[in-house]
Amino acid sequence: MTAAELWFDWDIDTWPLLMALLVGMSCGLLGAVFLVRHTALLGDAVSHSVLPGIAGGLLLAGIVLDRNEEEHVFGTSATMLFILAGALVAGLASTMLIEALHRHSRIKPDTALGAVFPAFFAIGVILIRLAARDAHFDQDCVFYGSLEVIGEFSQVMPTLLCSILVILFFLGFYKEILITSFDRQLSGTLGLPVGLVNLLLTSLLVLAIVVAFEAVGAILVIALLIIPAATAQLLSYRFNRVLILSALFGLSAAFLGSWMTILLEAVNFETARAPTVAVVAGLQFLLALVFSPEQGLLAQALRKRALESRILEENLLGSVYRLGGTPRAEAVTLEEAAARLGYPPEKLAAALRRCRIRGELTVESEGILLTEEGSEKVGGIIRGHRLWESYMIHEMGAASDHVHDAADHIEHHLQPALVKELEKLLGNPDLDPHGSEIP
Amino acid sequence: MSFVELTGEFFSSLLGHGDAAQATINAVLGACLAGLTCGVLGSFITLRRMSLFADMLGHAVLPGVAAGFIIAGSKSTPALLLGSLAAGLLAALLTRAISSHSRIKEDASLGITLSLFYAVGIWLLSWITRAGPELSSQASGLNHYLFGNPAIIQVIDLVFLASAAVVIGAVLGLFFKEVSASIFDPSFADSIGLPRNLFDNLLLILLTLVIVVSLKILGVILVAALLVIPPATAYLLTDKLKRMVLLSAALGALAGFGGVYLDFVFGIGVGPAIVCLSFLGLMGAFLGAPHHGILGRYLSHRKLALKTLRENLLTSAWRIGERGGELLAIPIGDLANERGEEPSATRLLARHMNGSGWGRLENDRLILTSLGQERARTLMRGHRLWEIFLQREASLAPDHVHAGAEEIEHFLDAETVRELEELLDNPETDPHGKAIPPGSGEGETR
Repeated sequence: MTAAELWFDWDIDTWPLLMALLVGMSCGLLGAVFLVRHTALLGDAVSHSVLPGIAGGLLLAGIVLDRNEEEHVFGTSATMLFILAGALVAGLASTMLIEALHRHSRIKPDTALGAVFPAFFAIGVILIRLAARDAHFDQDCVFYGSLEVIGEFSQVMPTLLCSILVILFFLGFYKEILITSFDRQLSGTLGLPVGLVNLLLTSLLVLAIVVAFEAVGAILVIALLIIPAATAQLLSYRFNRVLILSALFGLSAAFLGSWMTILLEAVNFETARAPTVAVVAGLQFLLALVFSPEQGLLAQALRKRALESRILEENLLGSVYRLGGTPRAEAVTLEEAAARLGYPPEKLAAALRRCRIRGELTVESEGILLTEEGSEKVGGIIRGHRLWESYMIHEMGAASDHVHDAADHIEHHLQPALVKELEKLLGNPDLDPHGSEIP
Repeated sequence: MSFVELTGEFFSSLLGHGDAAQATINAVLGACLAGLTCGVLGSFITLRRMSLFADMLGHAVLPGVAAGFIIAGSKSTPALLLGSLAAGLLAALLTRAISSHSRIKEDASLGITLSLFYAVGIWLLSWITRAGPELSSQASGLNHYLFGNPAIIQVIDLVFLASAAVVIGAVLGLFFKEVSASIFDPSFADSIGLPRNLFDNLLLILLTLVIVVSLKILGVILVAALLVIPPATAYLLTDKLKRMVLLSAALGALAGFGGVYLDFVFGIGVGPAIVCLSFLGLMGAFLGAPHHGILGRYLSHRKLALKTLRENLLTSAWRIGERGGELLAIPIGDLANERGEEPSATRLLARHMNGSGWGRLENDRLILTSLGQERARTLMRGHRLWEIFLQREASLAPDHVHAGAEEIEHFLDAETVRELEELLDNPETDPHGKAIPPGSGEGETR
């Protein structure tokens, strides 16, 4: 294995890589809009549905055009224009049919979606079989994509034009896209052409799918439409950042996927390039799902653990306090404190250690004692607990023997501002409903 | 061979012997069984709003097929089935995990799992076709799992299909009440302590099962269609769950049979043919279903419009009669005057009275039958009672109540009128001071 085998061979790889990057970026941008509009599966439906249009365009081109003379328009072969037009018609027709099915009958939207696109796909498959009899048409590219066989700029040209269109659309109509995606009523009052924006977006989606389908495969393109956008959504809540991140994830999946194919090839594991790009996009998503700093599963688990240990510590402090372990009173054993809470003592051992390190508890020979600092903290907690009990009884009319458990839960979540409001509302009471003093 | 000859050959091979005939019989049996099972289960799936799960699972079993093949080293049916079953269940779990542990919605998480699993499957297949000869030589025919191909259906596949059908039938039959309760009335199901989540999971497992065994016939992309389209068609044709299940099973089996036949004759592929046939059925039901189709809705709308038009003429006639005019044979001119229309327009409308049994247009007069008079009386009574109701109970001003009553008069049934009478203590005049016609048959006694 030489170093050259591990990196792109620019003589062959330039156009395939450019193609992958362009598809990744435009699908990432478009996919993000459809994801935040909760119509992520439209890409799924359209990518299946354009197939009859592609095949129909191909058949029509075979009939209309002179086979021996490849004509070029705008640097694109005329056949490609037929395919584009057919796919656009089929894609839009399928979205309209889905709409009509659930608008004008009692079929639910999800069923309409699930019924229309396999039907279109089936029609497409039949047409392709008919087309394949006389046109050279690679059936496999529908599934596998054929990124690696792109050998000249003219094959990238349609995708390049489409990507430029997508970028221009987003730059020119960012505000309209943003508002129509999130606030239908506001778009109505502002007089924004909601229908037009939707139509343009759907048309761009169809266009992006069509120019990508030969290179990436008709169905793999869904991966690039949904997954980078979802990855971005896991990392940010802001629309503009989601858009940019989604485009970046599309680009990085394209780049890393292409590179991974080369690396795998070097170890004699030969794969097609397009599915590798899609798999890399999936890996990025799984990584974000686990490691996203705010929304990741790991962050969620850590937050949950931090909360649980804080609750344990606060319960331990409260238990020691209630059993009389203030600096002026007698010490409490860990067993006693645990028994009061109904925990096995081992469960509190770690909490005890952390409280000792923070100087809230001291352990003497006869047991645990609260320090000055610890009793101040526990005073705040118990104050919140008892204020909440009073609040439940006075304001919600709960019975006095029903409020303790609820207060036990909420005492760990009361913010100082809320405690202040409770004080104001209840007029700074001195005793709680059970007659205990409020510290 | 011509179309007719091929048709003849198709049916004779269904009765014939030999390898070729056996292959056709297997294909027909397989396609019908798959259609039947998918139709039954699909009814519950679509009603439970899980149609897109079917779509997702169809795509998502692909890596299982590929992995099963790689591990077994051959296209051994049990290995591929086990692999795809595992992949399907894993995909269902992942979808649930994504939508319940992140802010990504269920539809998007379905799309993510679908494309991710599908991509992994295609990725593995792309490796298999390029791998060493010992693997790739075995692999020819794995592509059949993409589109399906009943020509490769063997007896063992039929055995798996039949067992899946029995399992699915038994489970659904056993829990029919529970499953339908949890679909149609979730809060009731919760209140009697039905574990709805369990039934959802059960449906998902059955769904994966049926997809896995139907894969060879329809392929990963089209298998969802058989789970969604025949049930949706049946849903448009009936309102009863049991009938819907039976109808959808029949439609599925029929599509299976027709698909194999069309492929035999035209060579367009069984899977696509089955799906196109079922879709034609759906479009037919969408346009022509008696109650829920476009045509049915249009007709019942037309019927209602005609009834409303006739009834409006009746009330106009009644108003003329009330002022002491001729009621039995009203000149069109008077009627047009009352309605504020050109006589020619009224004449056009009055023609619609013919055939209603309420009256007819004769010598440029509207002749009312006794039935028509009776209906007019009822309508006016309802109209004016409603006006009083609006004024008293909804506190509307007297000059604001007419429009509402004008619309509702066509829909007031005897029961509602009786309730109005009771509520309003049988008033005799409406808010505009006009007399309320007595109820039918009670005119003399009051």
